[in-house]
Amino acid sequence: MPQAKVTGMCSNCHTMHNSEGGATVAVEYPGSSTTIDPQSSLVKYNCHGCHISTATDTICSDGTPIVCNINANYEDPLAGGNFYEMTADETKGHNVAGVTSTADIAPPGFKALSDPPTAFTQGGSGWGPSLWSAGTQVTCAGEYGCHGDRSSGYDGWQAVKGGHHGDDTTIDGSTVAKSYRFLAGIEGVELNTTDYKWEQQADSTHHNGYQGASAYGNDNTISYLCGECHGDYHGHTNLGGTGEVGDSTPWLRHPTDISLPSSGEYTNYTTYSTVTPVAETSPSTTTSTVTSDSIVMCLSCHRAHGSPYYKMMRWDYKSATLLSSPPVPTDALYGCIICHTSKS
Amino acid sequence: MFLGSGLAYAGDYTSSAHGNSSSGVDRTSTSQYTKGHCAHCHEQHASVGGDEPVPASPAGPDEYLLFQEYKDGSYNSFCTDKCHRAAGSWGGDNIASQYAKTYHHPTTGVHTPGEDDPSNRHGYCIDCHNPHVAQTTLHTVGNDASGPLLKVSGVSVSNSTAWTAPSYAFIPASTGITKEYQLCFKCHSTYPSSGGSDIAKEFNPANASFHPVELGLDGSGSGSSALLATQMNADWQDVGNQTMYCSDCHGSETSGDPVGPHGSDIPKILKGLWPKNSSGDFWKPVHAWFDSEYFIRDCLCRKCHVIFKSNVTSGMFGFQNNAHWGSARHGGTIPCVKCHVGRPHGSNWGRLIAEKGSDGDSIDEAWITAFTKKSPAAYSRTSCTAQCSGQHLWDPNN
Repeated sequence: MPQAKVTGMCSNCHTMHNSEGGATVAVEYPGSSTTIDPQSSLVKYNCHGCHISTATDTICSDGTPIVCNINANYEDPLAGGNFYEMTADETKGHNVAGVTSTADIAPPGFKALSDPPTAFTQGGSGWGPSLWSAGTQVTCAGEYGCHGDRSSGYDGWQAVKGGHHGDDTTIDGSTVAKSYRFLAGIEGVELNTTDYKWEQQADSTHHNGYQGASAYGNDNTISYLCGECHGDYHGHTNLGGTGEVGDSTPWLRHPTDISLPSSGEYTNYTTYSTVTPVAETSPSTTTSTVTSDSIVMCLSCHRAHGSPYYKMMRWDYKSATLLSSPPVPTDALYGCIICHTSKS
Repeated sequence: MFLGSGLAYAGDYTSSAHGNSSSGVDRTSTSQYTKGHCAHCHEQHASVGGDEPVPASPAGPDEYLLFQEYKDGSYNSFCTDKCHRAAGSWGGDNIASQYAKTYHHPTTGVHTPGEDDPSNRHGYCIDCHNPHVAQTTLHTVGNDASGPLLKVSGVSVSNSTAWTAPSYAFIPASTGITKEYQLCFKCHSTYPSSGGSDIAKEFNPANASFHPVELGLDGSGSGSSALLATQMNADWQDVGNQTMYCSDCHGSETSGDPVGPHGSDIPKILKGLWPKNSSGDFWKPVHAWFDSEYFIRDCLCRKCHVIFKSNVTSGMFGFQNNAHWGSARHGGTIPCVKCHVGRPHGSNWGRLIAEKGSDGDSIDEAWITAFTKKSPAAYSRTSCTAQCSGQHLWDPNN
């Protein structure tokens, strides 16, 4: 189901000479008067130009998803959350270049990754950064980013090049265009239902279908993508492995890409929750029940871009209120008890 | 098996001692989280903002996502190294001091989450306490599992004839024990395949005498009968109906210490001295008569039983039970354990009388070879057959 393939006039995005009537065409974002240097691939704007907005909408009228609203009153954040939160408090989002100038520490749990996901046809050589030097900042795409081809040395333009024009009818991770949200090699099913697109609205029968693995053995999962930078937190052998994460006897870190047991303290998590969503080995946007095919993932607890809460959590994990009766999202343990049901 | 399943079956965490929002866990190095928060014990990634909060020794992730190793091979280190210790960084009863006492529950062995292995007898904190459920409410009088023992595993018993071991049924932590003794019997009975004393047999309510751990002495099925109310201290004068805890006798000998049978400087983790006094001599009735060797203060039995009545106003002095009278004999130099069982859980004879040479006669050689139960003031020399020549019916075979 096409999602990211753009349509319309070439000149909506590209400029041949970055000059019209003697004036610079490339600007920060559509409608901006602030010019910028010519962009790669003759594009008029950089990532932020299209995916940041001063308005409150999170999906533009032309269908462009907005991941950062420079407006506190933004409405209905998409599945990844909103980088706006990070602009005020960097503990609440990924501090990507262009949204904030602060180059932070290396990603917590960083582990150099040598191999791209096996399904992905790599454009360059090497994969991701071999080290994260001081001052290096995470980017939207490329070697130090999340989206696109993360081949060594690739910047955002190289990483995403062609992605917006590719056929994404089938998401199989083989190309950037055919990867879930241009996350090279990652699979999944994007919610594209009117009013629910990209989880602008979401409920137990309308949600993204996240790819998971039952025992951290696959490299096409959304959590594997996270592990490409936060390697110590994932049990895949390319990443931290069981040496860092442990296994069920016992776990050393909170596992991801592992089946959520349907017994014990997890017994009563039965209806899919958009607060603590689960992945699936065969993902669907309509799965409403939590079953033995339900997979714990990084996004069960975190938003990828940013959230109103500390550490991009999906609920206020740092709240001063431990747990209300009945629990509310502003409780510190609100999301914990959705899975660890008998602790409530 | 997933995170923590079986290790500590959870219940109402926020009602627990650790999960209480007013008094729960509150590690200073994770002060960004509110009191009682999971993160004060569990580090989801062994990292917050790229650094591991202290303590980070050894650095890196630890089992069950805990902030440090929960064991170091021989000790309940997670619980007692940082929180349940003197001047602990994060508060908590000083349980480490109890484990530093001469006698304490074992600290070796390996706990397996969800275990039900009668051959694997050991004593980690989590064998007796569920850290996600345990509450601070302590027991008063009775035998119901108290707050610190909620949702832990144990064994229930089905008793049959007197002085025989019961049959057992494992109670998983997800169900939880309802009586304290069900926890104790998990190890201190013949339920485990090795190492356990047969204490469940000794507490069998069908026995001719027993301390009322499982059943009140006048309860249905009791093989015993209650003492007189005047023979008991104030808390225990609802005689025949009351039950008691193992931890009424087993625990620290020092008032003010954390409760529970963690450790004591008295053998068998007793709260008072028994069967010997601090001079190493067996207790004798003469100690009660003169309150010598600090009998009233130190003797374990005196914590509940009124052995010697002393009423200055009425001028009444003497033993509650006439069998204890006689300055030359019972009131003098005869050790208590020559007549009573040294392990006073129960006896196949009434009034915890020890049969010479029986398996209840385990402390010092008892002298009694036959016993006839009487009312407290009705004992005579003929009530017993013993090897005390000239005093009792003489048993020529002993």
